[in-house]
Amino acid sequence: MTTYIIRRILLVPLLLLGVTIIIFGMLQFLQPAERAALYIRDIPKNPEALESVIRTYGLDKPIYIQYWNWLVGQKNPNTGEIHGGILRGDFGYSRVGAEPVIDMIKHRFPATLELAIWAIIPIIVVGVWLGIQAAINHNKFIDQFARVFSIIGYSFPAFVFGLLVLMIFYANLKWFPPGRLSNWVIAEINSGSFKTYTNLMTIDALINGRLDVLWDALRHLILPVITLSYISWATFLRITRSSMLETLNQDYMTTAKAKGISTKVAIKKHALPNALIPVVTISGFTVVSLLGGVVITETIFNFPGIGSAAANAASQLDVVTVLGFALFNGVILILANLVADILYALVDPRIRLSTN
Amino acid sequence: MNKKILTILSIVLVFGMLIISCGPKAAEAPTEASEAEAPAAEEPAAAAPATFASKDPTTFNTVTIGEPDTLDPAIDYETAGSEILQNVYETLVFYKKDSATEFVPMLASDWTVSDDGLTYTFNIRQGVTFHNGDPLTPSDVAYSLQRVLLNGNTNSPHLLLSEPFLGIGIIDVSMLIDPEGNLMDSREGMQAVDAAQLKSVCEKVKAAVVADDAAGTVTMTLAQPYGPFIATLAHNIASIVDAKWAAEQGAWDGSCDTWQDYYATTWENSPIAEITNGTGPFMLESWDHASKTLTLTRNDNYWRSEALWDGAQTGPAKLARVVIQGVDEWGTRFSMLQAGDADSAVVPIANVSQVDPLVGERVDYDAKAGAFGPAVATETADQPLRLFYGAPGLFRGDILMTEQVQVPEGGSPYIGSGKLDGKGIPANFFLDEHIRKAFNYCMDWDTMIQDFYQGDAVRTSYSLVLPGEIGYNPDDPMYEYDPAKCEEEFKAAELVNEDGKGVWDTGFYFVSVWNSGNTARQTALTILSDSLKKVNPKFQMEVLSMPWAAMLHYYQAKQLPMYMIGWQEDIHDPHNWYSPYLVGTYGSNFAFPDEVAAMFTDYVNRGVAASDAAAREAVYKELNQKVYDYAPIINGPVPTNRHYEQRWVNGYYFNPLYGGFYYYELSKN
Repeated sequence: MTTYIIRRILLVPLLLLGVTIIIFGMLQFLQPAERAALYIRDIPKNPEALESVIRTYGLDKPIYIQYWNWLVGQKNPNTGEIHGGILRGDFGYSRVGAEPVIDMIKHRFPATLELAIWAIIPIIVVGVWLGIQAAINHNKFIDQFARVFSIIGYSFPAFVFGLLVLMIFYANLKWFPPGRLSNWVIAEINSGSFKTYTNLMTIDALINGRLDVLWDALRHLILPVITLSYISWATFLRITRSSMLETLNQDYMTTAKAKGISTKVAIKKHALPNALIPVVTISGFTVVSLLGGVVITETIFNFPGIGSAAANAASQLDVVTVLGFALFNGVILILANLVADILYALVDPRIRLSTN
Repeated sequence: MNKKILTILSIVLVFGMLIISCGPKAAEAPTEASEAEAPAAEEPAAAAPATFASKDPTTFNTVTIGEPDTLDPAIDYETAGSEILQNVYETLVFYKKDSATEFVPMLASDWTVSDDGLTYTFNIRQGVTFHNGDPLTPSDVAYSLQRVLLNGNTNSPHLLLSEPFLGIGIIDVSMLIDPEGNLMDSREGMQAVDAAQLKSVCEKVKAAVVADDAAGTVTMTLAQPYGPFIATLAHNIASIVDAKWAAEQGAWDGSCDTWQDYYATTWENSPIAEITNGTGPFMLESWDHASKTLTLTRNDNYWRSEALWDGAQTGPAKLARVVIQGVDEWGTRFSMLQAGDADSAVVPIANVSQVDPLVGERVDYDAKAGAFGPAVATETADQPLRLFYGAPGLFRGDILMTEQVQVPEGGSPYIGSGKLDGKGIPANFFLDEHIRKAFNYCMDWDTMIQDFYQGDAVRTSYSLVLPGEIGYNPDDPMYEYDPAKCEEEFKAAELVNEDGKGVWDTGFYFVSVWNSGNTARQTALTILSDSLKKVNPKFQMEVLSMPWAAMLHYYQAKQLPMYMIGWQEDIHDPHNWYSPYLVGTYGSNFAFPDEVAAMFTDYVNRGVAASDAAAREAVYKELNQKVYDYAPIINGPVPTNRHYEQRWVNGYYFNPLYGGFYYYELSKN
């Protein structure tokens, strides 16, 4: 087990190297003048001034030197300041966001993270539960019903379903507004009477002991969470269901039942742990895709996460920003995969045993 | 257990179906506000406002698209930013209510003009303070204008001020050093210039705007008489900032020794791009980029004690807060209107049919009177929205042509083969006057107005300016849609290929471009493409979308043979049309032959410097004929305006030059 985990962790730097090389390779498609945004904010239009910037930041140097500069940054000989350097957390400047890319991520990631945390719970719990119910009631009404119910969600494009729930629960019933917070909460944050610690509003509300703010944050989260859940349930249902059906037909299940264990216990003790292995994999992917930002859902509900920001940057051809987000996503993906791999080992003894 | 689940799920399904089936109907149903509505049909319009009440009458919520580029008034050049600027900062003069051509004194209490039209002396209003408590002085006024002139930055509207102060044709302060404009936008280039020369330029600028704090005046000396000068001072570019505060933030300190270090400050690196300190009725409380939300709060110490026009507001604003939120998705904005959370929202023309059923009261523009008529209840008088309809905007979308396309190494995808062989066009295709005219005759704008604008647009004569401006003559000719004349002009074209064949025989292929998201432009180009094909099936004009930034890049590099773009007036003056179209912003990208460029420039310069309206009119009359004969563009219709607001909003009026709302005059029930 330990060897397995160590091996996985040792793989991380290699993967990161790969991701950075790919992103850096993509940046090479840009003109040196555009790549200057990796180091400085104000790129001169005048050709001579531009030349001097290109020379200062070595944008005309051999590619391996440029790669190194991109990793660790480059000193401006006039001011002695170091600019750029992704290892220093400097991803360059965003033209669209009018701020450093890393600040853009810092400002927006908490919203995405909070949405992901709240969405992943119903997605997994309800999706898996539906899958289990469908499997143990194989081909009965409830199985058919759950499958139809989730397939409808699966076939709904997010923008249709999102707009539909928005129309019903916001425009008509006025229950759950779009956005992330109501104006009065934003005003309190601006005035300093509500302190932010994590920028996850539900958690900050609890730290501040403010149930009204908690409710406001939740009210804004409900519709995007419902949308993300409904369109994801089908995947979880199908995987859980087929995996469960397969497990239920295994010889050890027959043996267990033959030994007199009740069906309920047999399912809980023997079928479920085995059936959930593929669910762990798909959960990992789902978390990663949620953390990468959900463009359409964020756009419809005016939720200020990184998905809508990246889409906006892409539509404005702000490549430095897009690739900065891609790099960030790459790192998240690698780390989330690491966690998923470790969880995998925990739930599936075959993996840890085979590597030991 | 199974039964229980079955029941629950069935209930969910039934509930879901119920919701879905009643969804669309429910969307049209009256919203909260109208439930409390009295029978409006009996007492139309007049009784209505009292019966519509907002949840929060002190906060105005505007839902729009996007967010400002910057809040530095010396740099900002787009409507989202100017909406904030006109509420936070103030200018020496301001538009008189809804008029684009009449002005009232704002931070100037009054002014005098010398007989030769060169010297303007402004008395600066006493007792005005900035939001941080600093008193307004004439020195602040001088600093603000000098800063704009010395800052340059060709992406800002500073040329509105540099032309009157530095001379016609001088569109940037760096041209006082290098008249060719090679130093434009280059801070490094300017820093390398001889210090004495830099200082003399700065002193020249300072001599043009002189403050006398003791007398309370600012004297401005123009390089030549300038017709639209007062109109220019009402523009946001002439906003008055607090000199001491700006320098403290890291903006130019007012010294002629260092100004080059601040030259060409862009909206990204201005120290006052995200903070403000004006004298206006509202103060910027916050700007959250993540949620694209700007919040303004009332300035309780606002100076205004006398009404600037009949019925104008005095004292602090009635609204305590204004929240302006960028919501790009239409469905979301629509929902916010329905829920009553948006007091006003941007409604794209394609979506008006969705919003119109919610309109309970409308106010129509009377083109003859040049003003809005009375509010009238609609057939759906219980509905919560009010519509202001039909005022002509100060915007026009036009199809532009590049007369000498720049072809990058390896060829250009936009001109196909690059030859007149039916599979492309030569780079100088649009240099042929007959071809430009043929395209004009082939453009069916009336179909565009009917199908796309749904009647909400009007065609103007071919003169580049708008109705109501000096130089506009409704009787001037225009190119009407006429396939026969289109054919005639194509046949008359002088352009031939190596085999001596003309465009009518060979046909052509090229790509025209619109910026993605702007469906008006897509529609116009598609209409043109279709009618060309009808005239001659060999005429192939592809219609391609590009992100805005890419289109901007390629057309400025003169790589696009044809593209559609628009112009929104900065000031209501013909110079603001002739200059960008024939000389500057767009004119410089048409690649006019030198003699044509010189001819147009000469007219434009004479027109703006002419001493009075009649003299200007005479110059522009001649120019209009030249423009018509040359046919440099395919000029589009002028869309008329629709403004939707909740019926609990009071005090709205339409001034086409405002960038959005002037919140000081608004209130809510």
